[in-house]
Amino acid sequence: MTRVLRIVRQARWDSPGDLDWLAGDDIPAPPLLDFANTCNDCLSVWLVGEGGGDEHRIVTALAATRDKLDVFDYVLFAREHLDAARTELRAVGGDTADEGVNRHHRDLAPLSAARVLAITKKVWHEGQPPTRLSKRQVGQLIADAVRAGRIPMEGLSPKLREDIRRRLQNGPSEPPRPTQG
Amino acid sequence: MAEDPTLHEGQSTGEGPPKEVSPDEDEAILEVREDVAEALAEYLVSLRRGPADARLLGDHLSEGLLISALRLIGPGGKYPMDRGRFWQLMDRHCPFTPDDPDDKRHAGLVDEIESLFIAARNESFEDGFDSALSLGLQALVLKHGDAALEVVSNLILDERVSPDAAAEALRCLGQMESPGTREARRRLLERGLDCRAHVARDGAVIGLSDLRDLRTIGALERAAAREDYRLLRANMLALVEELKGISP
Repeated sequence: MTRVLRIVRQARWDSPGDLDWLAGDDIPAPPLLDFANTCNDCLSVWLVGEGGGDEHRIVTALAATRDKLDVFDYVLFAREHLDAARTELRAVGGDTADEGVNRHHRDLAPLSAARVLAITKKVWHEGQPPTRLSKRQVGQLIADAVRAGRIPMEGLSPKLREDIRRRLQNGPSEPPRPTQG
Repeated sequence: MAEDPTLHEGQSTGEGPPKEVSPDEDEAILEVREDVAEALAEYLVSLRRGPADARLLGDHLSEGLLISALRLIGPGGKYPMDRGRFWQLMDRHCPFTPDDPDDKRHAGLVDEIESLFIAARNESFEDGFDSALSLGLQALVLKHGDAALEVVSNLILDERVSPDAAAEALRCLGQMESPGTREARRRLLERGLDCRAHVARDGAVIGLSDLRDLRTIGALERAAAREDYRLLRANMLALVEELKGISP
């Protein structure tokens, strides 16, 4: 199954057990922030799985575009959820240092307020809870990608490069164990 | 001033009984002293060649002392020192709380930190990127030490800043490399687990994961036991497991 990956902030999608105050299929407001920050009515997403790229490879490529190591929060949802919003997925190449994943980038467009709400509701109700990779796991993924030659060290920002260089000197990797609640 | 050559530095000030050193160690210490004196003399000579400004001499002298010593003990120096040991000694003999906590200076520091948080109201924070708030806070903590942390602590724990700004501050405090303020930062991050806003508590957990201090396990376990937000609770428990896996 092809899924869609979107970077979010996990805390916006978290909730205490009791959400009785929400009527019908309503959702809390904070998750909207992760889908409403559009650029020219578009939203940047990535395809993973069957019709897309490898989840961790895409996450690694995205994390490597940052200035420093940090946690990496993202949400995955079925491509079919986008049908509810009648939104198009436009093939627009990604801009990461890993050429092998850039073709899996898409722009969700055009987006209106109603469409953003419809998608966010679908993801909230039917998607997986957001995944968080710790800073250490992200560092290891990037170090592995650099070691494998998928991401050039010189493409990293100076602060990130220093961290990764230290990691490469320190040794072996550990597989990522995301937390999903 | 006459000195007993059998004493280590710092032991002549009454800190316990003097420790005897072997002739070899004694010789090494004397050699280091000579090297330091030589480097100092070289520096002072270079000062005399520059523009004479008596007011700056005190500052130059202290910088010269520091630079001479650092050249000797830094990587590639004649007596390279382990980085951890260096910070231990710095903490013990020259703790980084340089500013006197007099009222005027303290008020200035409070203003400066409050201004950072006020400016942060218009800032959007993004994972993986430094913010003006995080860079500003880190600089002030490095400069003012625990005094700055106390101000930040009051603002966050009294909920006088937005949850997002509190989270950003807590995250950047965990990330800093400032051994002299580590204890105060750990205490603040642990108290951050009690913030009312779950976003701020999340920032505290991320900060604590950067700190990697086994002593935070208890605080994290207690916080997890009372946490209503399930993803946040899972993050707390995951961090507890990670810390328990670290050899003390």
